[in-house]
Amino acid sequence: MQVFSIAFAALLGSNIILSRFLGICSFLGVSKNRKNALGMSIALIVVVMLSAIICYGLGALLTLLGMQDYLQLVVFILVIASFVQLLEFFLKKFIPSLYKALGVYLPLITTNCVVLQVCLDIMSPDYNFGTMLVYAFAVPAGYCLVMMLFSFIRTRLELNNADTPKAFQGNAIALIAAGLMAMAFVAFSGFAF
Amino acid sequence: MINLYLGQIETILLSIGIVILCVFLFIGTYLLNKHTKKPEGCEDLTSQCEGCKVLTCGHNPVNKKDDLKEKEKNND
Repeated sequence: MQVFSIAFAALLGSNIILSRFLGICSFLGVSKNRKNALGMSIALIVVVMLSAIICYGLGALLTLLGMQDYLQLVVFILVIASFVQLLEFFLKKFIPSLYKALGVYLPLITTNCVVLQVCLDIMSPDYNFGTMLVYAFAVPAGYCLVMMLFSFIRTRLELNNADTPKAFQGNAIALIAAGLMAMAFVAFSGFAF
Repeated sequence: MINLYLGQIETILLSIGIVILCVFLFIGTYLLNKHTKKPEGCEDLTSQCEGCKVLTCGHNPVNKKDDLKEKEKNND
């Protein structure tokens, strides 16, 4: 039940974009079309899951050395950046088809704050390895869900652009739509398991 | 949970060592990635990105437009 609760909260109730407002840059930048939104989301799922496993191990080592309070952030940033570079190298060399599919989004993920936040969250003593894996999958899956929904909304907004008042066109109406979506998602936080 | 109790100097030195190790790890992976050739058909993947509002990003179309303008000026 705890696993289900973690997955539900990460997917809907406490969605990383709509309730914690992380990853907003890519949310607004890449959600203009569905294909880009899907590419970014898949790349994020891969990177978050693998980074979380690495950072979980490293975090345990830092805790053992008593340095988790002040070294965690610096080490995680550098490890995530290195890991993304290594993953890109690996895909270029051995799986070019996947490299082509993930495209430009892979290096852009280095600066996505969702990855770092997941790695910091799993350092809480509440998580064991199993629940950490569920959380590390559910958070980017929630990101993917919101990105896809929002890309559909933005497509419709673009189609009806002529009906939108000039002052609201572009990012202004997108942010209003995102705000309404966030309010709708608040309803999911009322569920308890 | 096992705890290793280190002295203050050892802790500081070990912390600096870990950070330096991570920095070198990043530099190493960056250079490794940079010197690896892109597979065929992936040379111009940046064209897929429509760009966000980060103007300093190398993938932002604004930077590409500047490059184009410079090229045009040079040609003139």
